[in-house]
Amino acid sequence: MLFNSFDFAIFLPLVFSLYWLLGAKRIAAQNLLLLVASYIFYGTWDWRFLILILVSSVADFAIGKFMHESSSENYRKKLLWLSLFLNLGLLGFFKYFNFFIDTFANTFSFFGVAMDETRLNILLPVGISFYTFQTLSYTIDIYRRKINACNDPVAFFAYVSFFPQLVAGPIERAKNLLPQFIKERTFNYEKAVDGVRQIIWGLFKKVVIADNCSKAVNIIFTNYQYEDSLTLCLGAFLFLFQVYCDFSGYSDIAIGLGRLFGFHLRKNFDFPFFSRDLPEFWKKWHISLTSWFVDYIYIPLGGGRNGLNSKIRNVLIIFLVSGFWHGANWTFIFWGAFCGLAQVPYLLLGRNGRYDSYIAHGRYFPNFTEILQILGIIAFMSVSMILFRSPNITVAWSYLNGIFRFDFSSSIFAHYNSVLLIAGLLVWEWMFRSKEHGLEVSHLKARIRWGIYAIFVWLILFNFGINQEYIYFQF
Amino acid sequence: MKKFIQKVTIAFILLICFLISNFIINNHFINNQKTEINSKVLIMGGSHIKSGLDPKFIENSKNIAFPGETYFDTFHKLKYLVQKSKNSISTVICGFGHNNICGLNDDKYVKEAMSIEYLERIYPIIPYKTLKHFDVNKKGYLKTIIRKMCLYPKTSHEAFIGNGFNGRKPALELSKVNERIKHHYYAQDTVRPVSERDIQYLDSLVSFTAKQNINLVVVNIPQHKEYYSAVPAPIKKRYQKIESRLKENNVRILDLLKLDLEDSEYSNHDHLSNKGAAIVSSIVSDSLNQWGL
Repeated sequence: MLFNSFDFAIFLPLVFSLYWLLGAKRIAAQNLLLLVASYIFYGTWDWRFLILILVSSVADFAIGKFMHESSSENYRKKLLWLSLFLNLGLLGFFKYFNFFIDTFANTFSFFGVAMDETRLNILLPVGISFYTFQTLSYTIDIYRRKINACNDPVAFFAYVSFFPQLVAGPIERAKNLLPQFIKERTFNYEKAVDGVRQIIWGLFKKVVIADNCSKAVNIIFTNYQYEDSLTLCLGAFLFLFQVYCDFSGYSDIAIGLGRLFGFHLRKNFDFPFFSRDLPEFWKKWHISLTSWFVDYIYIPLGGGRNGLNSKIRNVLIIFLVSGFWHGANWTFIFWGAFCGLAQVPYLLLGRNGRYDSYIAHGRYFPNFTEILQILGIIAFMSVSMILFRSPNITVAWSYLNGIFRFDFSSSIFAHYNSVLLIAGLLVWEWMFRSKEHGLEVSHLKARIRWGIYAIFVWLILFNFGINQEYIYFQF
Repeated sequence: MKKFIQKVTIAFILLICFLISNFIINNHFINNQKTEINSKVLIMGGSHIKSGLDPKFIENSKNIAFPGETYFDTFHKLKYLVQKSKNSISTVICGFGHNNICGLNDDKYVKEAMSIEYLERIYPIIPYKTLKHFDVNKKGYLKTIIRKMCLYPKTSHEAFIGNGFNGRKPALELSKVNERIKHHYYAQDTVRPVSERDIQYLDSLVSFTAKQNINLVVVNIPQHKEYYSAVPAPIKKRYQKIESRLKENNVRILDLLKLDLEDSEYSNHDHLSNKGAAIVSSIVSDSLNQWGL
């Protein structure tokens, strides 16, 4: 069930009404309702996916409980390894099995040894990378004694499968989200209204911008051999914004939905293109995943504590892992390496992307240097997106070669509408860069607010055509 | 909570009122739109005839074919035009190729991406009460109605007519024959069954034109010999049966399927180039003259 579908338009009001009709005092009943609703939501893709999420939930609930009750460090460590083995094992099997088989076969054939390739026809369960990381954070945090084990199985199962963020994040930490399932949730008018605004903003980015860009991107990437250099550049640029609007749009809808049910979900994108350098960009892009890698990989590896060399090594590791997390393909690993290597100069210069305030704070317009910084980030990320979109390294390489042919034709003008939409988006986001999301208009007069809502809803309906899946569902 | 529900309900009611009022206005426009079809000869069908018959070679004709058009569409389109054009249409030239009866046509109203494109064309001419009897993407239909009729008043709803003859450049790539054949006749390596709905609507087209005293001429636009030989046997067999039935019903058939053309006269295996279209259009024109149409 997609957020941008009629099914969801029926599902949401139904669950919302039942949820609040139960009353805020009946937490257990509300949790049970959320659990059932989430399983229905997830089961609409394929009911078999439910088996996996159930296995993962049962295992981590039990492991967490045993770990919490045990005082033996050795036993606790074994339980942690069991959790890692189970969760990463499931993820590895469903997402990476065929990739490893292919890689082994190719490596052996390179050395002249023919291998009988046994590929499995495995269906990748939607959102497995997201909820696996969410359950892992639970057991790791219990092991680190940062949180206590949950005693309420319904609350825990609902936390793992919470439908707004189940299939594409934000990846929530048990420390933040799980306590919200235990305590009473009250309906807050202001938060609910802002939640609806954020849902509209998310739908706008997905339906109006990402889906429009996808049409042009599909044409350009399918016919990349025949396109001129400028059109190829445009293809990469449009794909960057397709990914951004698709994924950040999903996150906005998830956060908005969470608010409707009295939950607070963490911010996942913070107007990333308005950054002064790449380290700042990565602090604003897919925040929940970046911070997960920092907490559970970068810091345990030593972070920046053991000198510059080990810091560079650790940063490269998390970018490589991040690339691999995105998909079982060498293109994603190269993408991770490319983005990781681009961080090295900043590490050498001691730039960590931490700034006291957002870009052009207190000013309406960016200065010349800031414009160059923004354009530089967009250009770099557009190039990286060629790896992200290409089916293999050979295609990515020929696409890049095509850009450096330096031939130009007028075919670029065929996609002007997508470029105009992105220009409009950037201007709008610039105005709201200090806010929580792009439709936080509570400070405006009621008439203006309602006028803005009307325009956005109209644009969403106008572009409401084919149900396009979210790109990040495949990850 | 009460305030929130009140506001959401008001917003929802306002939105529904807005959508309904636009729907009413657009419905009025559809019922009263003046369609300008002044030609006596109409060329109808899918992309083969759209790029295969140039109306400048055929006297008083207009090519209103649309890529991918099925007999289901053509029947409703003609019915609509006959009502609007005050009986000025005397002859309809309709495409008749193997692809016109292939099962791919059934997917056109079912599969998400395709169905939106097709429903956007035909919503003014095929009412829901007709569509609902077939396997149709119903949610897609609702989306189409919202997008095309409920968002703003639109005076013209005639996208279904098409925008005339579409001359193509010669671009035949012999290696792509399987791609074309697979697209039309196969689903996951097995031959698709024919579209019974379209065969039924071809019959409806025959009886409708007869009733309206319109001369129906069916033309099979030439196919490249490689394409023709690769068309699956069950499709060919059924096609021949339909052809015989059309003959029994005194429908004029201009069989140009195996016309010997050069490669440059094709745009691909099943579409003609400008050069090919000129040759075929002249043949069709001569035949119409012979028949006194």
